[in-house]
Formats: sequence, structure tokens, C-alpha cells
Amino acid sequence: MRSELEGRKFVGPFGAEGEKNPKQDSFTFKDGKFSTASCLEWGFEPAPYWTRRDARGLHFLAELKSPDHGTIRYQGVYDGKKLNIVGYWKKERWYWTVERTYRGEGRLQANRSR
Amino acid sequence: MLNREGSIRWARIFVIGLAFGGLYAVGQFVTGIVVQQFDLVLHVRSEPMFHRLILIAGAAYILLLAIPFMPGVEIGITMILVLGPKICFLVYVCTVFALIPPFLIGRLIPSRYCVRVLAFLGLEKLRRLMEEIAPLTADERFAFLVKNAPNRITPFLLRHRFIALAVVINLPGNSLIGGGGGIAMLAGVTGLYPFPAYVLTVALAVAPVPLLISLTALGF
Repeated sequence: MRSELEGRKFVGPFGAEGEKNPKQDSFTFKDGKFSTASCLEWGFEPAPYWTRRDARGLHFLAELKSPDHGTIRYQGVYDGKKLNIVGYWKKERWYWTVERTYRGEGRLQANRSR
Repeated sequence: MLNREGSIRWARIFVIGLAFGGLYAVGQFVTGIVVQQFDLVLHVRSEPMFHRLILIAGAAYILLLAIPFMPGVEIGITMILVLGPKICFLVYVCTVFALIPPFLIGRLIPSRYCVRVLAFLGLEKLRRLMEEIAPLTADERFAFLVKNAPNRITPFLLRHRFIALAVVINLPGNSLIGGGGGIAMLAGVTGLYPFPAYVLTVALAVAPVPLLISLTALGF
């Protein structure tokens, strides 16, 4: 079944927790895969996304992997107006594991393309 | 009034003090640069650079800590302060590795060179002592030093030399008596520490601080 998010693109600020001036980013749901502009830039490949609906809205979950930068697990909720999104970045090195949370909010940029 | 020999001795001590002061200042300067480099924010984009910086800082830490009288330990502390308790493991591993080369150098330095250095410094009593113990084996050195120790504390420290080493390595401000590198080198020069026992002592001696920080961070 086609998701309500499929074919949609959201744009808004997205940055690390505590960051004063988060950069604009775009979040795209296309062909059953989720991607963000910054992730594509960093080498994270688009990945399949899962959705479920509850009283708060339509939730989604996707885990994007990069050969050099680790993984980012994105999850968010779309309430019909905006997409609240959280990204948990994890990068493992032999001496430690970096974990960082990114937060953002996207406004619908484009309607379904098909 | 000082005689000529006394004047030369004080001049030598002054020059050596100046050299060590210079080394200390260089160490502080390098430490300052490293501290500035860590003052960045860790992001996906900057992580590879951070990774390289951490490895460079680790290498600098090993190098500075291994050099006698260099305040290398500040880099380790800074790494923990800036990067958090997660970096404790790396700092711990670097600390243990840093204290091995100076010990081995100390072990490999022929006693005659130590005697020459002590003579140059005008430390006659120590020079004579070094000359006497130079041809002895480690066990013979230990017996000789305990027998000829000037007070009651020295034989106690010699008998518990591994504990003494652990205490001195952890002593705040030990850079004034040579720092980790200087202490390790001296430990090697004495010939009283077998290599595996020395490594084990160092591994245990430097563990409490990073372990305590890590456990505190985990909520223990």
C-alpha cells in the first residue's frame, strides 16, 4: 500500500541538538525510499522507510547508511501540516562510538509527483 | 664565597635548568595548540577531521608524555575534558604505550653514560653510587641499595618499589621530577623493574583516573 508520504518533499531547518543556526535541509520520500539533501551530500544512500499512523499523525522510520560516516536513523511524524523529524547519527571508531541527535522541522514543498 | 669548582657546578645546574624550562615551555605551547584544535563541534561533516585530530593528539600525547619533563599528561586530561569520558579508553591505551619507550631507553642506556651525565651535573654522591651498582645484577643492586640506604624510608620504598612507582606516576606535578617519561626512564636506568612487571605496574597505575571518570559517566 502506498504511503501518504510517498512522492512528497519537505524543506526546513535541520541541525544538531543545541545548534543555534541549523541549516536548511530537504527530506524526500520517493520510490519507497527516504533521503535528505545533506545525507546525499555526505554519502548516505536513500533507504526504505516504514510508516504507521496513530493519533499524533503519520510516523515514519528509515535508517540511512554511509560507507564513511556510519548510520543515521531518521524518525518523524507528519501531522498534515509539518514533518517533525529526528535523526540519530552513529559512527563507530575503534576507540569510541560517536552518537549525536539532530532535530528539524520540514514544511511540505511539493505535492505527490504521481 | 664560592670556589671555582662550585661556580662551574652552579653554572651547569643553571644551564640545565634553563634547558628544562625551555622544554617545559615548548610542551605548554604545543599543549595549547592541541587544546585549541579540539575546540570544535563534532558533526557528520567534521567527524573525519576530528578522527584525524584525535589520532594526531594521541600521537602527540604519546610523544610528549614519553619525553622527560614534558607536560604531556595535560593533553590526555584535555582530551577527556573536551571529548568526554568516552575517550578515556584511548587516553589510557596511549598513556601505557607512552611510558614503555622511555623505560626501554633507560634500560638500554649503558651505565657509563649515566655516570658521565651525573659527573657533568656535579652529582658526586649519585655518580659514585651509580659506579658501584653499575656492574651488579638487578638482585644485587636491590640488596646493595637496601643495605646502604641513608634512612628508613628508602629501604621501604625499594621493597615496595612497584607501589612507589605507581604512586610517583600518579603524583600531581610530577613533571617537576621528570614527568611520566622521566620517571619511566629512571625506572629503566635502575634495572630494578623487570619489563613485564613494569608494564603491568604502569597499566594498573594509570587505570584509576580513566576508570573512575568512565564509571562516573556511566552513573556508578
